Amino acid sequence: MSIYKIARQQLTLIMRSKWLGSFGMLFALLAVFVTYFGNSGQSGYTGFSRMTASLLNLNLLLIPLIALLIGSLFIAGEKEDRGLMLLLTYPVSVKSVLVGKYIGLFLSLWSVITFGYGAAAIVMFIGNADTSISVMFLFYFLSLLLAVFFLALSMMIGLWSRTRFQALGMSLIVWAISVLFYEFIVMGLSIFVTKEWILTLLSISIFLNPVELIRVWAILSLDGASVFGPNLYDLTVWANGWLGQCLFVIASLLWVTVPFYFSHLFVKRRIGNE
Amino acid sequence: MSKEYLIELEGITKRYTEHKQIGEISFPIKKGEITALCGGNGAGKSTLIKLLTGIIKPTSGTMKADGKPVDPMSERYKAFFSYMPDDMIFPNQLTGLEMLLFFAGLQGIAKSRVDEVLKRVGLFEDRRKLIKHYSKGMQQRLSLAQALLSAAPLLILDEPTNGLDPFWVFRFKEIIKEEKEAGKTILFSTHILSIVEEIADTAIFLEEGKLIYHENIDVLTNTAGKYNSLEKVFFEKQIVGVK
Repeated sequence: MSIYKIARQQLTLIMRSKWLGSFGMLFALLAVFVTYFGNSGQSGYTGFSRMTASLLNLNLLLIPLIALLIGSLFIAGEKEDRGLMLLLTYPVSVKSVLVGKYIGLFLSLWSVITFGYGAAAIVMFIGNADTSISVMFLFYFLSLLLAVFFLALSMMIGLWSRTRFQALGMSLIVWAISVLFYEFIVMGLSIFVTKEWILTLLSISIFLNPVELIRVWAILSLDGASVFGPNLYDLTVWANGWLGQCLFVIASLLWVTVPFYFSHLFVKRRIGNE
Repeated sequence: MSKEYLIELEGITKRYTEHKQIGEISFPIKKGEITALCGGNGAGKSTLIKLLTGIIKPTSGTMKADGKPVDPMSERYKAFFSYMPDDMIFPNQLTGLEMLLFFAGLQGIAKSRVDEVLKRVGLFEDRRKLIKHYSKGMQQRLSLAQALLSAAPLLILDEPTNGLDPFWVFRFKEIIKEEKEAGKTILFSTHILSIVEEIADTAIFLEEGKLIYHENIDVLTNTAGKYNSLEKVFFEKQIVGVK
C-alpha cells in the first residue's frame, strides 16, 4: 500500500513539473520527424531499415538522457530539500520507498514514450508507411526497457549525489560515456587484444552497457544482423541462440537489480550523514 | 525504571571525524514530559535528533523504547515517534492538503484528522494553495502539521519555531502544551531559552557533541540561587566548555 502511495506521489510531482512536458514534446517531435523522413521515398533505402535505424538511434540517444535527468534530479532534489529524509522517518521500509519512487518515475517516462510513439504511429498511418505494427511494438517495448535500465541508474545517481548539480553532472557523464564514447572506448581496447579475442571483447562489451544491449537486441530481433558485417557473423549466431538470449535477459535483470542494490546502500549509509 | 521512561539512550556515540563527533551520550526521556535540547550552533543537537529518529546510525551505544532495546532504523521504532525536521522544503507543485494527505495515507490516518490538524496550525483556509505560495512560516507550520498527524507517543521537533512570527510562536507553545496534556512525550531543540523555560520540564544542554547538563528546569534555575535563568546556565556552561 505504501508503495502505491509513494509511486502516486512521485508521479504527481513529475507530472506537474515543466520537465516532463518539454521532454514529451521533444521526443514526440523527433519521433514524428524521424518517422516522416525515414519513410520518404528519396532515401534510397527501403523504408524498413532506414526508418527503424533512425528511430532506434533516436531512442538510444534521447531515452537515456531523459531518464537520467528526470530520475537523478528529482531524487537528488528531494534529498537536498530533506523530503526523502523525512519520508524515511515514517514507518515504511527503505525498499518500499525505493520501489515506489521507481514506479512513479517509470510511469512518468512511460507517458513520454507512449506519447512519442503514438504521434509517430499517427504519422505512419497517414503516410501509409511500410512498417509493420509488430516492429513498432517491438521498438516500443525496447524503449521502455531502456527507460527501465536508465531510471534504475538515475535513482542510484540521485541518491549518491549530495546536490542537484552533482546529480546533473554525474548524469551527463554517465550519458556521455554510455551513449557517445563507449564505442570508442571498446575500439580503443580492441587495439590491445589479439585478433582471436576481439569477438570475446565485443561480446562482453555488449552486456556492460545498457545502450549497446538494447541496440544489439533490437537489431537481432529485427533480423537486421547483416548490419554487423561478415566478420561478426559468429557473434550474431551466438547472440541469436538460446545462450545469447538468456544472457540478454540476465543482463537486463542485473541492470535493474545492481543499481537498486547500490541505491539501497546509499540510503542506508549516506542519508543524514551529509 | 523503564516504565517511567519512554526513551533511554545508553552510551550513544557518532563519529564523523576527530573534530566532529557525538561523544558517549546517555540520558532518559521521561514519559509525558517536554524535554528541550539546547546548545549553541554546532553543539550536536541536530545530529542527536537524527540519531533519535534513526536517520543516522550511531557508531556505538544502545537505545531503548518503552523499556525494550530497539533498532532505531527499524519500522517498529519509526511507528513510535513523529518528527518535524529543521528547514524542511516541501515540493512546490503540491498543495498543503495534498502533502498532508500523502503523509496521512502512509500511516492510515483519516482525512478528518488532516483537516483537524490543518485548523490547529492555521492552514485550513490555505490548504488548497500550492506550497510555492506559502511563506516560510506557513511551510514551518505545514512541517509541524505532518508531525502532529500521527498518534505516536513521542513527538520530536527540530528547531520548530524557526521562521514563525510571534503569534505562531505563542500558538506553538500552546499546541505543545495540548499535546502534553493529551499524553504525548515531546522532545524539541531550540536556541530560544525563554521558550524552554516556559514550556519544558527538562532541559538537555549540549556542547561540542557532549552532554553537559540534563536536569529538571526548576532545579536548573533554582539551585541554591546560583542560576536564576537558563540564559545564565547556558553562559556559565559555555565558559566551562571553553576552559
